[in-house]
Amino acid sequence: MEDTEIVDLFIKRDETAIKETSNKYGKKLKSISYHLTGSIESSEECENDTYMKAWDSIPPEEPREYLFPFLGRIIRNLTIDLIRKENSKKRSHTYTELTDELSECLSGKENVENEIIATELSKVINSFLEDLSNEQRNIFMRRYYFFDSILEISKEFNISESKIKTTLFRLRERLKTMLSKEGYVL
Amino acid sequence: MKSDDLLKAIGDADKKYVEEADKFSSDVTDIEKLKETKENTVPEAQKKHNKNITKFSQVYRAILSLAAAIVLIFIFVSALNIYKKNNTKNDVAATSSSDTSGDTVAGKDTQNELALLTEDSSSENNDSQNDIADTDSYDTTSSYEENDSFDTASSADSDNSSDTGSSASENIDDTSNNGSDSLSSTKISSDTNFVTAKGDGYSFSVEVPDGFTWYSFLGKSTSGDSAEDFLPNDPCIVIHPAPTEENDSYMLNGNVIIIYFPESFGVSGTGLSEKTVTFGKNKGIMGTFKDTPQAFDYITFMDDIDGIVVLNRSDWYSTYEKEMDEMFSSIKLQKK
Repeated sequence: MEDTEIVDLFIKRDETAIKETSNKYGKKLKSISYHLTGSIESSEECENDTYMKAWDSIPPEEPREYLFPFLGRIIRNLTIDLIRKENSKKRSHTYTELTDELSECLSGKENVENEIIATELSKVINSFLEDLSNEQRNIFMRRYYFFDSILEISKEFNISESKIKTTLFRLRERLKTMLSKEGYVL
Repeated sequence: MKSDDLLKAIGDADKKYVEEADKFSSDVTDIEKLKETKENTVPEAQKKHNKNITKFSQVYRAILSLAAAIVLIFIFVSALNIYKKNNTKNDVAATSSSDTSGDTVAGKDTQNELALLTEDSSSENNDSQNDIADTDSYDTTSSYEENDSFDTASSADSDNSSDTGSSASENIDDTSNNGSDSLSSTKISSDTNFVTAKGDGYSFSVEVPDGFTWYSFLGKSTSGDSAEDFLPNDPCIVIHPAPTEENDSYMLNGNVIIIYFPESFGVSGTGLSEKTVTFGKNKGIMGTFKDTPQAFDYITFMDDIDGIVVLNRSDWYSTYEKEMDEMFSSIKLQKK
């Protein structure tokens, strides 16, 4: 079923919308969550919550052209929020690894202002992604959007793990520079 | 701003970037498969570590195997040596237990030899040793030594009857036959015929000519057996020609030449005539009693082999004089 038809079902408040969404994107969504939590139960919980949130969001949202990115953002946020709620000891290795990597792009200081302007980050991120080559961008996205491991990315792009690591390191440096220019990093 | 805020913000990436990256999604989207993949994914460091452990384990096992093999070989060799020693001890013990003379005896070959010496005369076959085992009263202790490296002795009991004496004679001849053939070849397996006798603080040796049979005795046994009356009390070497017929009985009849080193040697001067004789470097005095059937009765040597005595109880010396004289020239004495 096409995304537009699924979105229409949501708009019509047809509960089959959830079933169709699950059939089409269920595995991918669960995979994103699982990468971060390392738990099947948690990822299934996040998946169901994603459908519920999509049910609540559509309408007024009508993501006919970007249903998967729309759902992906929801499950990412739900998963991150879920992990945040949990004790730090229960946090998955992947999550810790990813946040550690991204912390390189930020300063150690936190302030309210930064919290407020965090919502504006998407613009900066998109700007950053736009400047990257296709390969760089896809590698970055596979790592920090889909939460793939270095090994998985290496296989997906048929590139050595060390090169993936080097590429990601350089991309983080570029992101840090950009965030710094935009005032996100003091 | 926290790093997870940034992580979250990346989720707001433009849909085109998400869809573009989604095309690179690996085949593993099934969580069960993903979990399996994760579990099977071993970090490189862990792989290297495992590899190192495997290598170390292989080397360690190889070293252990080698060490175990060495230890096993060592144990085997040790066990073999102990077994050999025990066997030797058992032989000596068996010999000693049958020795009634109190003389020191050892050795398998002499045991066989004396078994033949004391064998019942009725048995003219080669089963003499079994027959001797059944006899009790004939105690003979003897030993012979060959080149100082082959110390053997034995004793055996046999019937003390007169029949036994004559039969023993036959068996002695058998022994002598064997002595010149198998026995001698057993005793003198090498190309030398040097025979050594040892006493307290001395040893003497002689080169026995081919064609003669020799015995090295520690001394006469204490049983008082008449069959060995001719033997002196001291260690001695007894020589006689190798028997050529089954009925030859050099040994039992005392038809032998004896070489020994007595503590003291004295003879009655009645009817005695002496003359100086020289055999090679060995110089001595040959004594002959009047009316004696032998060519001479004794020789007492001097100088280098001072104290060595040859007793002639043979009737064959004249026949083999040349060989015997050569033999006398080969006598050597060593005092410790």
